[in-house]
Amino acid sequence: MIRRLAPLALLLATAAAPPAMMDVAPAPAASPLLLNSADDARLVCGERVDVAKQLACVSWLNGAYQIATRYQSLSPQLFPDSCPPAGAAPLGRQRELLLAWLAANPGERVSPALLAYRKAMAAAFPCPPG
Amino acid sequence: MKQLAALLLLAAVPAAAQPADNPVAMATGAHLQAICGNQEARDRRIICLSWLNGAAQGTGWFKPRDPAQTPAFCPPSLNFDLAAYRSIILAWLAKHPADLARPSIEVYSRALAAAYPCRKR
Repeated sequence: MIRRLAPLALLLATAAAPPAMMDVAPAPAASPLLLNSADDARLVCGERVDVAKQLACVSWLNGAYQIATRYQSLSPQLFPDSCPPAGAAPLGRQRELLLAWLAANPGERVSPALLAYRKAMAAAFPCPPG
Repeated sequence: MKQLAALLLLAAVPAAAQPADNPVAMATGAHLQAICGNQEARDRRIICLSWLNGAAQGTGWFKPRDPAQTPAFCPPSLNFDLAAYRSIILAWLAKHPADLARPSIEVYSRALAAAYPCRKR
């Protein structure tokens, strides 16, 4: 999943106050707000104070969830589908599930954030066989 | 930020119960237009680009369950550009105002499928 997120990176780079001294501008791709890795998801979705991170987390979950409801995985072992009952997966619940799954699977922190999300949701809401 | 309070409230509410008129839910084409079309408000830019980011990260790994409603799209590269996606969707909505009432994920798919059609095999 190679991605170019310049606009988001640029936007989110303005979210934090700049350091007092900075010789080299930080690479925008390093921002956890891009939600590239599972560890980014842990940092951003675990945030309880920073408004930008909270907005980024819930909105990212919203987009990923809407795709999950209308699209089927071509690689279920890597990106499993999930089947939450109607009303069982509000975005706040999804955030809790993702954080709990990441806490239980620390070895997955280097995985893509979307992979962690799909696995967390599938663990909580597995689809019936067949 | 009023948007945060609204979004966090929505985060605790099942999607089916979310108020249809709150654009931060990003549930319809009208919401996409209201949120992504506003480049002045920083919270709306975050919501728009993060929603697009969540939707787009799996591009190439999933197929539509109902291609008539959410057609497949094939961007020239998975090195995608969220600002370009945003522009494509806004332009689509400007040309297809009936889609303002469609679910946002359908608008997303239809706009990108028109911009990046898949070759028939």
